[in-house]
Amino acid sequence: MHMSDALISPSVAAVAGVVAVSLIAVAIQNCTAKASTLNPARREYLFPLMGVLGAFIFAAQMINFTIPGTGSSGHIVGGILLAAILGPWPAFLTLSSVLIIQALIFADGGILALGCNIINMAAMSCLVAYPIFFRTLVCPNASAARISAASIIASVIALMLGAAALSAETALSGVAALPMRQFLVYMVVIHLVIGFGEGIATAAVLAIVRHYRPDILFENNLGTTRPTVARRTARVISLFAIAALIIGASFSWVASSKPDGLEWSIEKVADNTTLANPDTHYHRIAAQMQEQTALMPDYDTSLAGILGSGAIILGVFVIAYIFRYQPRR
Amino acid sequence: MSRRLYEALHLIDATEHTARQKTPLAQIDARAKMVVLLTFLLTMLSLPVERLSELMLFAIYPITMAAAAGIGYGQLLRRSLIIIPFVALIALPNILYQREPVLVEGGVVITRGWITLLAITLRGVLAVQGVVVMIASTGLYGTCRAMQRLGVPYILASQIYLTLRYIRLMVEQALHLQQAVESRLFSRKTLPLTLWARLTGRLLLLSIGRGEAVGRAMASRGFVGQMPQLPYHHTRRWRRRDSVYLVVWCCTLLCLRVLHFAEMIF
Repeated sequence: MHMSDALISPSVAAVAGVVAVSLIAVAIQNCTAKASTLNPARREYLFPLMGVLGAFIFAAQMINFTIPGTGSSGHIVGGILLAAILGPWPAFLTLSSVLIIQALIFADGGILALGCNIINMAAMSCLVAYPIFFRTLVCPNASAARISAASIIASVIALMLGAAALSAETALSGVAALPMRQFLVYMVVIHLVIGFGEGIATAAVLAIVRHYRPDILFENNLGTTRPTVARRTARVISLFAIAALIIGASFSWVASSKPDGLEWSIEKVADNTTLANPDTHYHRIAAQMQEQTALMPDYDTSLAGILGSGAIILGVFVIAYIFRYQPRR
Repeated sequence: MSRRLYEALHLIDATEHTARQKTPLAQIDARAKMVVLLTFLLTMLSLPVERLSELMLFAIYPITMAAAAGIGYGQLLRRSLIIIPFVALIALPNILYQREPVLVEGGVVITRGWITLLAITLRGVLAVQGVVVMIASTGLYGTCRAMQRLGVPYILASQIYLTLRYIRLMVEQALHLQQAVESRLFSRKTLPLTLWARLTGRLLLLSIGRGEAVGRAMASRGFVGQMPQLPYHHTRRWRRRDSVYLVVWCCTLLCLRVLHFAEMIF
C-alpha cells in the first residue's frame, strides 16, 4: 500500500504531511509523558525497544508466508502487532520511522507521499483499528480464539480504512483518471483479503508472544487486568459499529425497490411517488445546496450503506462524547 | 527466500560505502541536498501531467547528480525501474478514460491517455532517482543527522537512528533463522503459515530481549532519550559552496517549472 510520488499532487501531499506531522508531534508528547509514568522496569527500555522493534518489523516484512488456497504469498505489515506490544502512540512512532527508512533506502513509497503513507498504514492501524476494535474486543484472560478474532477484525478494518484513504488521496490528486468509485471498490475488496491474511499472521505471532512473554504486552491487555467501565462501553460501541457496517454493506443489496409508506401514500393521491417542489426563491436555494452536498444521491449500492453507517456512527459518537457523564469530584 | 534479506543487507552496505567516497556531491552539506531534493520533488510533481516535454527536462537533476556522486546512471535507472509496475497499474486506465487524440503521426493516433501514462511513469522514475542519488551521496546516518539539524524532534530522529543501527542486526538474525528453516524445507519457495509464525515469533522474542539488554546498557551510560550531539569537528560546517549549490539548483528547478523551456527550445 506504499503510495508513490507519481500519483500524488503537492497540495494533497502538503495536507497529508501536516496531518502526519501533527500526529507525530502528539505521539512524541505521548511517548515522553508515557516514559515518565511507566514503571522503572519498563521505562528504561521503551525507546531502545521501539528502535529494535522497528528493525524487527523491517526484517519481518521481508519474510513471506504462503496464503493458503491462493498460491500466492504475503507479508505482515505489523501495525496491530506493534500496538499490542508497545501501545498505540509508541507503535505509531515506530511504524512511521520504518516507513521513513523504507522511503529512503528502498524508495518504497515517495518522500512527498510519506504523509499519506503514514496516515494510511501507521495511523489507521495503530491509532484507529487497534484502540477501537482490538483493545475493546479483547478481555482479560482472553482465549486464543478471541485474540485471533480480534486480530483479524482489527487488521481487516485497518487495511480497508488505509485502502479507502489511499483511494481518496489518489482521486483528490487528480493525476490518475481512474474513477474514484471503481478504484475504491477494487482497493477495498483486495485489502479485505490481504487484511484477513495479516490478521491471521498477527494472531499467530501474538499467540507465541503471549505464551512465552505475556509480561511485555501493552498494559497487560491480554493478561489479568479487569476492564474498566469505559473499556466495556467502548467495546459495546465497537460491536454496534461492526454490526452497522455489516448491515449497511450486505443488506442494502436485498433492499426493496418498491416505494416506502410515504411514497405509496403520495402515489395513491398524486399518481407519482414524489411531489414537485414549489418554485420559490428559498426552495431553489435549498435544492442547490442539496445538490452540492449530496455525495451519493439515490444511494443505490453497498458503498453508500457503509459510508452512511460510518457517518451516523461518527455523529452519535461525537454527541455522546460531548454529553458523556462525568462524575463530580 | 533469503534473497530479499541478502539484498537489503547489500543495499545498506553499498549505500554507506558510496556515501563515504570523496566525490564532489558528498562534500556538500546534507541539509542543502535535502532542501534541493524537496524543491525538485515539489516543482516536478506540481507540473501538469500533460506537459511531458517539460517534465523530461527535470531529468537534468538526477543525471548531473549521479555524475557528481560517482554513480553510473545505468545503475540509477535500474534501481528506479522497480517503481514502474506499481505506478503503471494505477495509471494504465488513463488509456481507457482519456481518448482525446493529441498527436497524429504517420497514421498513428496518440491519445491523451498515452501521454499521461508516460508522464506519470516518468514522474515516478524521476522521483525515485532523486531520492536514491541523495541518499547514495549522503548515507543513511548522515541523512538522519541532517534531519536532526533541520529541526526534526530528537525523539523521532533518535528512533530513526536506533532503527537504522539495529536493522543490520535484525536482518542478519532473520537471515540465520530463515537459512536454518530453508535447509530443512527442500526447495519450498515460501514458508507455511504455522512455520512462518514460529520463525517470526522467535525473531520478535529475540528482538525484545536484545532491546531490553540494549536499553540497560544505554541507561548505564546515561541515556535519557536524547541522542548526543556529535562533537563540533565531526559535524560539517555550512560553507559557501553549500549556499551556491542550494541557490543554483533551487533557481534552476524553479525556472524549469515556471518558464516553458520546452516551448522555447522546440
